[in-house]
Amino acid sequence: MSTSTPLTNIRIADLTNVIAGPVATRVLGHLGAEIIKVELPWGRAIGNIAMHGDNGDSRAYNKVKTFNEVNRAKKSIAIDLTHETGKNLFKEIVSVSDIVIQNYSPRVMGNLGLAYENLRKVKPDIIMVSMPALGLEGPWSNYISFGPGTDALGGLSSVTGYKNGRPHKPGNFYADHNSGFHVATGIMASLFRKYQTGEGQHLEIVLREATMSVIGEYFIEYQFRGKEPERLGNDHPVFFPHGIFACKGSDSWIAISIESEKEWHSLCELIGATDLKNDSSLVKVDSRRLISQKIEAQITKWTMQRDNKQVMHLMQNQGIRAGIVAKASDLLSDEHVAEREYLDTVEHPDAGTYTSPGLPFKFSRASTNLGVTAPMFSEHSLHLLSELLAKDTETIKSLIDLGTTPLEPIDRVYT
Amino acid sequence: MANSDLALTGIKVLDISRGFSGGYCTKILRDLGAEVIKVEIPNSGDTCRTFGPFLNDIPDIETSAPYLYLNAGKKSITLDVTNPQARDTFLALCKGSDIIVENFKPGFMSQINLGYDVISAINSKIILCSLTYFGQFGPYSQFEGSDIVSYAMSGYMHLTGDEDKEPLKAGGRQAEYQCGLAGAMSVLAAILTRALTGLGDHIDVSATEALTSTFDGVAYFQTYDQTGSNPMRAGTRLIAREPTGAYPSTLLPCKDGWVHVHYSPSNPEGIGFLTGNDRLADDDVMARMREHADEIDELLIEWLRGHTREEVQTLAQEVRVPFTMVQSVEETLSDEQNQHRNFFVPIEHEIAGQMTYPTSPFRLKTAEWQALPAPILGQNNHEIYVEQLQLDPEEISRMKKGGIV
Repeated sequence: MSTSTPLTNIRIADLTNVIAGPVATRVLGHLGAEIIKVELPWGRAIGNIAMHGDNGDSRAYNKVKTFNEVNRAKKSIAIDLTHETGKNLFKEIVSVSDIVIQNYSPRVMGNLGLAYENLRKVKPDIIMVSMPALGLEGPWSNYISFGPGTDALGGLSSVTGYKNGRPHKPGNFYADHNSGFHVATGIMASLFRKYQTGEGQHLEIVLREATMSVIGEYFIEYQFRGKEPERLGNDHPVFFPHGIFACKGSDSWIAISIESEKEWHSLCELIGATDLKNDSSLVKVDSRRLISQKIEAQITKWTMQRDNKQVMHLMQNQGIRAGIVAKASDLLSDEHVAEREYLDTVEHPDAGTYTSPGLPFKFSRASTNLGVTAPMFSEHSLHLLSELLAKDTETIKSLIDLGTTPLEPIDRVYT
Repeated sequence: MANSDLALTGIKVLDISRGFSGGYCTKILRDLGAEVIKVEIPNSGDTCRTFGPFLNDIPDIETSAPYLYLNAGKKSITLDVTNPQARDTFLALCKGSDIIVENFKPGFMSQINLGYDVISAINSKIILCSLTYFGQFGPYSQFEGSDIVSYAMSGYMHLTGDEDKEPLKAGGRQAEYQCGLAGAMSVLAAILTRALTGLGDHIDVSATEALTSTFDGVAYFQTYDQTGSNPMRAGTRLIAREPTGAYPSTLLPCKDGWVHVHYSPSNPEGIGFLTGNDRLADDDVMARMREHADEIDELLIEWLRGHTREEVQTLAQEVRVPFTMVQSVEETLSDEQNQHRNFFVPIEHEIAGQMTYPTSPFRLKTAEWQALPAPILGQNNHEIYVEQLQLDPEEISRMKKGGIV
C-alpha cells in the first residue's frame, strides 16, 4: 500500500551548484518535493563542463554527465541574478516556496541582496539553507574549498591511507555526498519544526563539520592516547585477519573480516589450513598477529585459485563475513542490486539512457519519485513563468529577450 | 535558548541497535532534539561499549571512545529485548515511542515476534527503522556483514587507493556511518509523511547501498556504459575524468606535510598566478588539464616545496585558489576556525572525565547543542521503568535477577 511522498506540496528554490548541494536537493526531489533549480544564464556549473569537455557536441550543456546524475527529479529555470529584474523574479519564486538552498561562498548571497534577512521579508516563514565549506563566520569563512579539500582540513585524509604511507583521499566526492545527505536531513528537520511552530529559519550546515562528524571517535582517541591515530590501511584495530585478498583475475579482490573464534575455525577449514585450525593458541587474535604474514599467505594461496564471487559465496555459506571488491560492472550485473531495484535508470532527451545510484533506503508505505531524469537547460522556464508566477505572454517574451531568463545558455558577459 | 527550539523536541526514539550505524543514526536524531533511549543488553550493554580505544587503554564499558562520542546526550536503560519475559515491558516502551531503530539481521525481529506488524498493531504511528549491511530482502540479505565487507561490495573500495596497489579502506567506519546517516534521513522523511497521513512506516536501510549512493555525480556507471571499462581508482585524483577534464584535484607534499590542491572553475588562471609559473596557465595545458596531470603535479611540487602548509593555504586563498592543508586529528581539534565556531566542546563524564567532543553539524541558530555526556549503562532505568512506565519496583528486581533488566 502506498501513500503520498514525504515531501508532497513542498517547493524548494535551489541555487546550488556542483555536487554537495545538488545531492541534497536530488534526495528531496526523490522524496516528492518540487525542486526549482535556478540556473546561471551562461550554462551549467562551468566547472562541470570543463571537467568533462565539450567535444564540439551540440547542446553539450545538456549532456554533462555529473550534472545529469545529481540533478535528477528537478525542474530548471535560468535566471540572471546579477540584474534587478532577475532578482525580483527570484524573489517571486521565493514568495511561493518553502525552502531556499544555496552553496555559494559566504559573501555571495549578501552581495546579491538575497541574504536571509532580505528573503524573509519576501516570505516570513522561509527556511533558508546555507552550506559553506568552512562556516559563514570565522577566520577561514571566506576560504574556498570543494569536498575533497574539506576531507583534508577535517582530519579524514589524515586517518585514511596505507600502513606507513602518506595521507590519502577517500572515494571521490565523499565529503560532498556526506554533507549533502546531512543537509537533506537537516532540511526535513527544519520542515518538521515549521509544521509545529509555523516558523522558518536560517539553517547552516558546514561541509567540514559533516566530515568531522563521521570520524568523531578519532578525536576522543587522540585525547586518550595523546598521539596521532595511525593510518591502518585495511587492517582493523582488533580483528585479524581483516582486509582484502587477491583472487583469480586482474584487480580482483575479496574483503574478509574474521570477528569470532567460530569464524576463524570456519575460515581455516574452508581453506584447508588444518595446521592453523589445530593450533589452539591461534584462537587468540594476538597470537595470530605474530604470524600474520603466514596466515595471509595461506588465505591468498586459496583465494588466488578462485574467482572472487565464488570465494564470496563459499565463505558466506560457512558464515564468514566476506564480499567482493565490486566494480561498476559487478554492480550493474549483480542479482542482489537488481532484485532490490537499487539503481535508477533514466531516459534523457539529449543525453540518452543512463544509470545512477538510487536512494539508500526503502519505505514500506511512503512513495518515492525515482526514475525521473535531470532537466534540460531552462527546460521549465516557460511553464514556471506562466503557471507558477502567472506571467502573461508579453512579460515572458521580454524576460527572454532581456536575457533575464534565457532559454539557451548565453555567452557570459564580464562587466 | 530553550530546548523546545530544537526541531525534534518531543519526539521519542527507542534505540535497540548496537555499534556504529544505529549509534550515528540516533546521534543525529538526538542532535536535532529528540529524546533517545538506548535499550542495552543487561550487564554488557551496546557492543559499541566493547570497541576501543579506552581511557588508559584499559577495556571498560564506560570509557569506549566510539561509545562516548556516538551516545553523548542519550539515555540508557537495560533490557534484553530478545528474552520473551521482556516482551511486555518492551511493548509498553513501544507504545509511548515515535521511532525505533534496530540493526539485527533481517528477519530476527519477526523471529522473536517483534516484527513491524506486531509493533505497529500496538502503535500505528511508530516508525521502525531497520539498518543492515545488505537490506531486508534480496539474495544477500542473510549474508554476514561488516564495515569492510559493505565498503568493498558498495564499489567504494575499488575507487580508493593507488592504481598500482590494492584497493584501500577509508579511515574509520564509513559504511556504518553512512548507514546511520541514511537511516536518520529516512526517519525524518517518515516523520514528515506521518504528519500528513498519521501513519508510521517500516524503513529498510542498507549500508552497502548507502555507500554506493556517494557515487552520484561521479559518472561511475555512465563511464562504464560508454567506455566498456570500469572506472579505476586514481590515487588522490578524481576518478572517471576525461583528458580534457579539469585538474588539479589531488594531495601533494609541501615543506612540512601535505596539502590538497584544487582547480577553481571560476578562477582558471589562479594557479598560474599564485605560483608565478606560466606553464600552469598555458593554453595547451589548460585545454587538456587532466592529460597533463603528471606535469602539473611536478610544477606544483616545485613551488610547494618552498612553503609550509599554512603558507600554501594562506597564499592560495588570498588569490581565490582553493588549496587547503591536510590537518592531523590533533590540528583539527584546535584550529582557529573550529575554535571560532566552538565545534569542539568540553563535556564531563563521570568515569571518563573531562574531554573535548565534536558537537554536531546540526547546530541550529534557534537552539544550542546540548553538551551532555554519554550515559552510564542503565543510568535511566529508574526514570524510565519506575517514573514513566510505573512498573512495580519488585517486578523490576525480579527482572534484574533474571538478567532481563
